[in-house]
Amino acid sequence: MIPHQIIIRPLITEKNTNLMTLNKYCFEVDRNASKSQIKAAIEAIFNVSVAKVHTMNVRGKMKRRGREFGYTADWKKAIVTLAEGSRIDLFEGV
Amino acid sequence: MKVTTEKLPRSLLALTIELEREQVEKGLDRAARRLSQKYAIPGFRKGKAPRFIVENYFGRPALLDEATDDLINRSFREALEQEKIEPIGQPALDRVQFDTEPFQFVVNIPVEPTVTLPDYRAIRAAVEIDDVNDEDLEQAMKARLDRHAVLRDLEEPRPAQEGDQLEVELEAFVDGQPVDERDPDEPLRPTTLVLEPNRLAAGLFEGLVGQSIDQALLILSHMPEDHPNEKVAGKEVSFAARILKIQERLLPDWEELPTLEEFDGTLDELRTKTQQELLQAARQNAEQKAVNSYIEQLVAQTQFDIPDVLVEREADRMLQERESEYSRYGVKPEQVYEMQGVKREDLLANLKPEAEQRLLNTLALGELVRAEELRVEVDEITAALNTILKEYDAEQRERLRTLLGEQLAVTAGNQALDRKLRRRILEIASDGSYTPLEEPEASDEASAASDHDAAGVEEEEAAAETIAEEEAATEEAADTATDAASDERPA
Repeated sequence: MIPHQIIIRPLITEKNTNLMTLNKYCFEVDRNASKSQIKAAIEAIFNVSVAKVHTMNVRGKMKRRGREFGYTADWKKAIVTLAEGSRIDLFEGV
Repeated sequence: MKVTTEKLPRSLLALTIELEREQVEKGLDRAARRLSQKYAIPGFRKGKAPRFIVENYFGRPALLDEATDDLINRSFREALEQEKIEPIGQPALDRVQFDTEPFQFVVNIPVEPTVTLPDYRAIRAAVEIDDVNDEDLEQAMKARLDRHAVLRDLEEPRPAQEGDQLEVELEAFVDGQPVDERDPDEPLRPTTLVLEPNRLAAGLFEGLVGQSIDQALLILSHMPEDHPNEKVAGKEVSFAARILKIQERLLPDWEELPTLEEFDGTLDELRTKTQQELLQAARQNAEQKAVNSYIEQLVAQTQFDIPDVLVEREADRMLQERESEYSRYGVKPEQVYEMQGVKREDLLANLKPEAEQRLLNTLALGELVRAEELRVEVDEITAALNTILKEYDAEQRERLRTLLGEQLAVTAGNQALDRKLRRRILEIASDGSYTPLEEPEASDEASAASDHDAAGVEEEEAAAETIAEEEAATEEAADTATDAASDERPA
């Protein structure tokens, strides 16, 4: 898999913004990607060095439309901790 | 913050305010907080998104827009305090540059107008008092007698005679066209005429004398070139007339005149009094003309630099005066404008030349008051107050005091200063060769009455004292002087 197929999008929320102060960045990643693949992809895309990768599978939410109901897709979240001195200038300094 | 000022024409000051980067950044931070509080950004509660997220979400131009007003307001206020500038109107934003360095903006502020008086002591205006001759005196005496004429219906019908009072249907035509437009279905309104040669248009007297009631008449008359009505001046006018009623005017005997006029003296003494009154009126007229002429020359020679906002404000004040007149008669100004088919803005624009003239007069006279160091003392204000109160009875005086309070003292102060200014103008205008008329002082009776309520007077005096000490009062008084100068005194 190429890096841009692994990293789907950064997750920018209030909670994740607070994590950035700890040098941790959150991404939605491919459900089949492993931690090492994620680490390699982040290092390749952002040119940084990754210290740790935590992942979790997020269950899809139940959505109802009248009497019909279904689920949104399950997905995988990765919290990437960068090595000291590394930083992703995704938004800052725009 | 760096502030530079540049003087512009029309009493405007261009203020260039340059901000430090740090100030701009703080402003942007505040703007980001405001934006995030106002709008929801996905993933964030309201007001919780950090600046870089807001900036990314809305874009830098939006953030700059939001920050501009706040940055300008804060730094403009600081700049005014720093440079000790007192604007007299709304500032106008000229240029803004916050996206690149130097971060600066330019504001044009109207400031106090500058008035440079000419050598006002060299301006001359002669006081030319018209002579009062025997003819004027006779006319005035006859007018007194006329006031006591008694009307009596005719016992036997007869043609109109000199001295009669007529009720006439009268319509004037020039070249076959009526001079005054009217609804043809509406009947003519009767006019009352006194049949005397010097009171009627040339030809009209001759045309009506000897005519009887209900006779249709066509009278031709040539109007003088200086006739006040432009439509008829210097033209041949034909009058269609019909006498409706003839009344005899019975004049009293000359010997009865002093009694009728409630004058304690003989007819000769009344004549002497009338002559003195005529002389006084002629003198007042001459003084008024001289003052007007002096002010005209003074304003023409004075250099002014006034902001437009002051002219607009003056025009608005004039219109408000008119509107309050309408309101006093129970008519809404909007109704008047609708009936006349005019807009308030147009009226304001039309009033501007007059407003500018009034403003120039006020400013020039205000400057004259300052240059001559004219001030009014407490006793002068008290005297002026007594003169005002003299016109009212005891009960009304009390009511006036309660209602107007300090305002009355201000008016009295203005009047006192106005009188002083007039005297000084006349002295300057005549190069000291003319002694102005003394204004009549308040009578003892009025002074005693106004002293009745000692506490009230004390309050007013205290208020008056404040005014006497305040420079601001001189401005208002100059304003009153302008108004007074433009009024014709009754002969």
